[in-house]
Amino acid sequence: MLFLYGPILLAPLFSVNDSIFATFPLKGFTLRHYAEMANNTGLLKALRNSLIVAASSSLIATAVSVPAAIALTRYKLRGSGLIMTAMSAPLVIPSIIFGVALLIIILRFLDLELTLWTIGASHVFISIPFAMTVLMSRLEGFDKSLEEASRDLGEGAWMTFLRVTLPLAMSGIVSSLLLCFVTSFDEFVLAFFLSGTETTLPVYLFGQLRFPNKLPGMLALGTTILMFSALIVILAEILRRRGVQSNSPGAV
Amino acid sequence: MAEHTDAVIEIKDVSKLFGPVAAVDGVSFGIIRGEFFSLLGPSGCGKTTLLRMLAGFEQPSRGEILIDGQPMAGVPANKRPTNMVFQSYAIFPHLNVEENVGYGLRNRKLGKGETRSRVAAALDLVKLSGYGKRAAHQLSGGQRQRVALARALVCRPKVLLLDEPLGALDKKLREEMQLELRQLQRNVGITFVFVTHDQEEALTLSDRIAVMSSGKVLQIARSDDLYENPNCREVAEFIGNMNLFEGKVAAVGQGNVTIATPAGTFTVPHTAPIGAGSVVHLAVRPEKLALSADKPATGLNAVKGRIIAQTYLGDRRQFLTQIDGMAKPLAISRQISGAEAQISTNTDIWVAWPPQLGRLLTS
Ligand SMILES: Nc1ncnc2c1ncn2[C@@H]1O[C@H](COP(=O)(O)OP(=O)(O)OP(=O)(O)O)[C@@H](O)[C@H]1O
Ligand SMILES: [Mg+2]
Repeated sequence: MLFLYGPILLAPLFSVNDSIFATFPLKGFTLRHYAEMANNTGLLKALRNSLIVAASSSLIATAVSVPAAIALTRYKLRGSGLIMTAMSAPLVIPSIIFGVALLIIILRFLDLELTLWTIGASHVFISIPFAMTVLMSRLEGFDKSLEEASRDLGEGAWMTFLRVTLPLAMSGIVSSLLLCFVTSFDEFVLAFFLSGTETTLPVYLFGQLRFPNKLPGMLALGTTILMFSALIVILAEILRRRGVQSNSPGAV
Repeated sequence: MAEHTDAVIEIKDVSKLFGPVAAVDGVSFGIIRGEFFSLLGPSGCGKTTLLRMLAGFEQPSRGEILIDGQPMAGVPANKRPTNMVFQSYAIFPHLNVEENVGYGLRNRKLGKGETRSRVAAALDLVKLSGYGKRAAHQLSGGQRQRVALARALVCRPKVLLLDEPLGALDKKLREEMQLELRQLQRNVGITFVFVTHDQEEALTLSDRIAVMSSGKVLQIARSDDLYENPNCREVAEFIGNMNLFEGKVAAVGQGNVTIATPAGTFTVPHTAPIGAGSVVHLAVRPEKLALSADKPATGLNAVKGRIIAQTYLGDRRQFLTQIDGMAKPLAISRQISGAEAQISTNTDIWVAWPPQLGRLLTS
């Protein structure tokens, strides 16, 4: 546990240290680095880019995954195993290979420029397996006769989706959004390969590490991101548990 | 078409195949408007499949279903005049009791007030008034069952379909709900099609019962008729307890036949033509049999045996009697009035019954 979390805890520690060197012994306590961070326009721009990419890729990945997860859990499609394997490919293919392959496709075959959109598109690909896993476990968890009951009570397929499937899948959808958001926000390799003039926060951070005097500022940024990510992951987990609970049949 | 029959449901030679398996196999019958009709049979005999074809969740592989005279081929579940109470109750977990019950009223173009009063009336009907704001997960098993009933009845279906709705309840609650269900059905006058594998439940509740086995309907009859006059061995053994003597027709008389069995020769009513020598079964219920120490009067069917066990059942006592030449002991059930003589186990005894209380089963 110490090996796992020890290094992570060093970042917050040095980020409030009143020195530009990340070494012991610590000097005084300061929030100076945090204040500087807020005035750094390059950093803020990268942050804004990251938020845009993460928000749009998580939305698109989840939106694509909802109908796919419903199709895979509700109908015994032939080749659904194959579809699942194909979709989880980004989990097992090393990011570097994936990044290079995408780079070639985008530049050579599609003849597109590298923008935030290309980063976003690659993030959609790597987020889909996470979205699918979360959504399918949610959809498999609830009684299929609920949807039949809705049909039986006079609602067609679309209204059944809106009135039963969607509300029951909502906790799964929200946790999928959060998970995809974090996945994209933290992603470095693909963003590094696929960014043009504009880039995302992790890539920007990496670029800044060459300047030693920027290090504490980066640590401050890292700490902030760490805390937000942790918050989001915890939120997603709480929502997932809540969903499972409201689904169990209660006291009999 | 349906005017002269008054059948609200007509099932015409319906089969349902799942791959090579026929879950329902060439079934034909009608269900009369306003009756409490049960589908009874062992697990896996196709009851749920048949019910789901009525509801519109499955399409027949062959044959035709008419509801209220209308062919149902191609009519989806949401367009049928039926509503279903699911075995799992399928209460929507994200809605409260009121919202669950009112679910089916949304697209009926009722005013707000009308919707509310119909929901209230339905809750009243199932004795849940005051529970409208409860969340679904705060309900007990019995209450969930009532919500499922109210939710279906509020739509005023022509036919209510119930798939083992009492299966998940404990014995006492189940018996209470049986009574209520029967009363409810009389009050609302809606046709109920009730699926169960519990023969006692079917006998108490139903006007008529269809006994199913391996996808086929064996017999359709009123409860008492089914009990008294089963048409085959399978029905006889499935409904209540039955003693069976296997034998051959020895002589055909006027309105009766004599059959020779390893336990003796017995007479049994029978009118249809039957050839001497045919292999048949004589069936007689445990409560039709009388025990006596002395040889019974002539004219009765009688057989001598030995009591091997007896069980006290509160209102009656069940004796098991071993008969020479028979593999299974005879079951005899005797009402306990307090006046009858004690019979101890391991005594020899005569078992007798009037010939007209036996039944001849040819299949
Ligand atoms: N969707 C399906 N796919 C394949 N086989 C099925 C399907 N539904 C039912 N069956 C088969 O059809 C047969 C009848 O099933 P059904 O559910 O109608 O029985 P049941 O009488 O309701 O039994 P139970 O009392 O256990 O509920 C069973 O052998 C079952 O395995
Ligand atoms: Mg069933």
